[in-house]
Amino acid sequence: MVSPRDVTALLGDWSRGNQTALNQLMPLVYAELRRVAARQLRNERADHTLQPTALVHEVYVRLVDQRQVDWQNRAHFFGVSAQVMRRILVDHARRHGASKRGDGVRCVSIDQAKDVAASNEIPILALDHALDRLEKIDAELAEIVELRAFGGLTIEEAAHVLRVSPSTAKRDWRTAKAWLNRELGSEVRR
Amino acid sequence: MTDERWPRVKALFQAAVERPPAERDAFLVAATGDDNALRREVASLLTSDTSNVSFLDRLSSARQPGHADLLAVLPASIDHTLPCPVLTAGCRVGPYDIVAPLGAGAMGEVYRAHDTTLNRDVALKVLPELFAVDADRLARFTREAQILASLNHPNIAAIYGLEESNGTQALVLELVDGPTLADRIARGPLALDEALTIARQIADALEAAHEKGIVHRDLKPANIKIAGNGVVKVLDFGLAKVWDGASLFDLAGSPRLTATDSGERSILGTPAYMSPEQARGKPLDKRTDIWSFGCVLYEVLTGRQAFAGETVSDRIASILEREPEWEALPDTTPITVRRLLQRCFEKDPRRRVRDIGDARIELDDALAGRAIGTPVARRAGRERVAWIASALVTAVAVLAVGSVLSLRRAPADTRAYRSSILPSPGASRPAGLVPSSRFALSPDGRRLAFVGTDAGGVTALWVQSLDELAGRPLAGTEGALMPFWSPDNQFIGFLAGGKVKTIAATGGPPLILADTTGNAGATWNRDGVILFTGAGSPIRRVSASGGPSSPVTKLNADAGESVHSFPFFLPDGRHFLYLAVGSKTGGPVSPNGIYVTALDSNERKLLVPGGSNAKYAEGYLLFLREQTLMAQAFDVERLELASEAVPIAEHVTIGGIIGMAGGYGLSETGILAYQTGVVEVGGPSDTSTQLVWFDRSGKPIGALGDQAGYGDLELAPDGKRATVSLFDRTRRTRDIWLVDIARGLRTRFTFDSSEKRGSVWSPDGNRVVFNTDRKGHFDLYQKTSSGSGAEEELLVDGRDKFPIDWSSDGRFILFGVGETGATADLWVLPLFGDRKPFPFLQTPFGEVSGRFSADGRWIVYESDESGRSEVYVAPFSARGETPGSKWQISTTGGTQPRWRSDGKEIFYLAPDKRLMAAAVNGRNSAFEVGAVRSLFDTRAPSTINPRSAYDVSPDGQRFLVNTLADDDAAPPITLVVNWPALLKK
Repeated sequence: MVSPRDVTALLGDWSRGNQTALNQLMPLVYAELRRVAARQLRNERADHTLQPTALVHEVYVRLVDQRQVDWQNRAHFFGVSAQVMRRILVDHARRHGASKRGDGVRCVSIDQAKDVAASNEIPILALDHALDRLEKIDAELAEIVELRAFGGLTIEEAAHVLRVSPSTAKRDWRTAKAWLNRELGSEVRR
Repeated sequence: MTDERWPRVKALFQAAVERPPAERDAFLVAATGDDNALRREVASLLTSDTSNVSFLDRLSSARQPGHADLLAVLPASIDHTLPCPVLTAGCRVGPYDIVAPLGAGAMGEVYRAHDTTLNRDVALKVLPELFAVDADRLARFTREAQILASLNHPNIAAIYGLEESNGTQALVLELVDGPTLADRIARGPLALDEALTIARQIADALEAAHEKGIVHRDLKPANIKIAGNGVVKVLDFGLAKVWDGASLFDLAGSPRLTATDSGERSILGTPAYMSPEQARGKPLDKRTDIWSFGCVLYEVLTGRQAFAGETVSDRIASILEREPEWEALPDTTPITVRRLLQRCFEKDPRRRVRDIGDARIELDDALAGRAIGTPVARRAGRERVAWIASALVTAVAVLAVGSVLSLRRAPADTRAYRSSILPSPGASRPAGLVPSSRFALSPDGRRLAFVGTDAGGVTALWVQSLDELAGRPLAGTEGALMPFWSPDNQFIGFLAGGKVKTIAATGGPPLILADTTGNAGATWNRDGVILFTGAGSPIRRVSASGGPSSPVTKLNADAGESVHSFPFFLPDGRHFLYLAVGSKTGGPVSPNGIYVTALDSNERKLLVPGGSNAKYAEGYLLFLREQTLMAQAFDVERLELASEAVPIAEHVTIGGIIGMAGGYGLSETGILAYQTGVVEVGGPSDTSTQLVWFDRSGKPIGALGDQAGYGDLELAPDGKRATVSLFDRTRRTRDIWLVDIARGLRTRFTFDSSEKRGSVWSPDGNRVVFNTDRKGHFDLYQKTSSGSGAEEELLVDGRDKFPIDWSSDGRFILFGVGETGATADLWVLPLFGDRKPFPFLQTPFGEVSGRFSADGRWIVYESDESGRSEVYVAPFSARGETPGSKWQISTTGGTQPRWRSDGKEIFYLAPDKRLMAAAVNGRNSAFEVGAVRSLFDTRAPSTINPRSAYDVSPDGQRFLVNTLADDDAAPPITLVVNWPALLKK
């Protein structure tokens, strides 16, 4: 296993603009995330839930020497992890023949009837597709969703990663949510 | 929809959502004109926006509470205000006429309203619409509100009740006119008296609520109002919890973000005032209020927040990890108040002020103290009073004055106290002990167990209460070293005669637990498990009640580990620290790193590369860097080091062959004991050993030369000279020196900066063979014993080699390959023919210290094949045949064998460093071993891997021993009481 020192250093290098560091970082994060996710997906019974951002968080705790990074670096880490997490979840959903309505990946239960997803399953694949569509329309909106939904970044952290002001990020997030709610609402109802 | 339209859709949507819902339609119509498609598009998005929490929020809010991490409290997503009914002046809710908006809180809009029934003004807090649609939530909320309404106290803003009217839910609250404490603080720090008076009233309010089992959970200056008459009113008691239970955003009770109308985020349980347990999402009780109370008190005194930070996560990090800036407190702050603050800011709620009533009393005292203009006396604590002992040393006297200071056990106590313990009368400091084996503090910090030598020369375990001037020896512990305490302070474990033993701290029969060959530390947990180690051993465990022992760690041969030393249990009694020692090359052994592992785990984690004997207390890992004792914050739950290591003591004596067995000990009560002194790298230090001649009875005949850091002692065959290695403190390597026995003079024999270890004399005394690592590994070189002439390579190859003996016919040199452990083998270098070395013994075990018999037929050597070092004799074949038989000489362990030159006796050191003599007969084909006698205690240095510590005169009547010099001038043991305070300077 890589040491927290390595990951922390790479993170620092990358956030200072070294793209090579990102190339080294991604496989590390990917490997660890996949390991953690696989464990959880294996262990979870059907009535349990998968919390992507909790996984990302766990990996963060494992990989990064938290005392050595500032919050900007942390944001970048979660940013990287968000992409990876999305890929892992989608892969998993595909492998498990998720098709019909849900994807087989059960997420945090949603107890609000008003909510778009009237079931308690998160349509990961549907979300993935919708995000792809959104990306074509408005890449920034898609990215903020990825950062927040899969990476668990706060508005401030996402704003930092996207290099926009927090208020812009906040507005965009709200817009993206509305857009996705609308899209997925129709999808899930279908 | 096409992509070209999107920017406009987005802009309109974003503009529309900023407006109140009622105005959005009109806005859209105006903005889109006759473009109905555009309007529908934006409207459909607005419709989708109304859901309060989408699954996306769920995804992104799952940083789990309970994680001991800052992020645990950053649920990311809830960033829009719940829709609330908007009321305007003139509206009526039940009997209440709305007068004017007062502002918005986390829970919704607050209005000034007039109670037409009771003819008084009240505050109406209008609840979000969702309360109206969820009967369960509303019922729960109503019950909670009723409990809160039972609070009746002059310093608590009352909750009058809950009003429901036309689908609007509102809390009816006492209206308090006047600024909030936050407003007041914003104008600058308060005068001390004013600050204390305000704090006193807040404490009063909390006390009343706590008595009813109501916890505020969100105490902060903005929730505290100062009425016109100076009366303090605490607002929103318990509403955080009510809100919690009623909240949609149920994240298992962790504080959460919501938004105020100003757009600023706040967390219920506002970040700057949140207790650590609140920040971690743990269950809360009244002690969370005590923390927050501390925050408010600090802020009224200093005008600044106790735990500040740019971002929410910075603030939370500050709460979890840092102390407030104590310097910011005004100089006039009474000591009682300082102490109160420190006790409010205990991160662990169990150590925090338990009862807000205590705080109120402190404040009363402080106010009274100021009123009469005298310093405020320290109030005796109700809590457990820990014993802390101090013995003062006067510079001139051999006199110690002991006194017991009763100080409160408060880790946040402001100061550390340093004092010293003089040697107990009647006990002299024993020679020959590695610093780490000399003393141990009891876990309760009341007693010291130490190794002492009495006037009769008997070395035993002594116990001294820190409040007494003298200790007393424990009978039955003769030869003891390396004391260690049981966790209940009742027993002391120690090492004696190669056994791990225990004895009651008050005396009694010792219990023998296990064999061991080393003295590199031991530790004892609450489950009665004792961990110990030995030469070449992993950490082993044995029950304190006896029984077999078994290894709990495994030496990593690939990493060259030769011993795991200095086990130390962490507080959970399952995890423990240890120091891995070894040498990859077979060269100098060195500390490889401090590891942590668990009794039931095969995994281990490197904490500190290199390192020394390590211990843990008070949240810190302690270890030595050179002679500096370092403390580094260590999370025992996550087994992670934090921050930087900070020095807390200098010149701590260190020793042992790895040089990193430091003389220090810890109690569990914040006491640190350490001994200062010289470095004792590679065995004896350069000031503390003395070459001494003894006769067979152990009577010293005379010293040879001065005191120095001798090692690798080797007498020349004629007995007139000797070689020794001496540690060069500047270069930190050893060189070979020649000693003139008659005159006691020594001269340097090797000069370069490489490390030299062993040396052997040619039978005619004209040449000396030694090894140096100048080519990266230890090779054999030779040089004339006159010191003139060049150093010649004798055997240079890729292995580490140690010269051990030269056959008396001059034809063979015996050397070791690999210094220690299973890799050590004995080889022979013929000094004729093809000079091709061949093994004498090559086994899976470690063979060292071989010596030719004078007739060249036998080799006596040391092997650990039985599990501990014993002395054996085997026939030597000049043709390199592996010996077919062997005879064991030692009976209970033995090292460093030597022949008497006539071959009739073999000497060796027993594990307790006594010199043993075995009568032998090697004239026949079968080797004969007779009686083994103990001659005397050599007091040879105890090191992990002692090398040549003595030699024998050719006639076998005199012994030149490298002993530790009597060291009465050794510095006393230094005590630091409340040592964690050293870190807070």
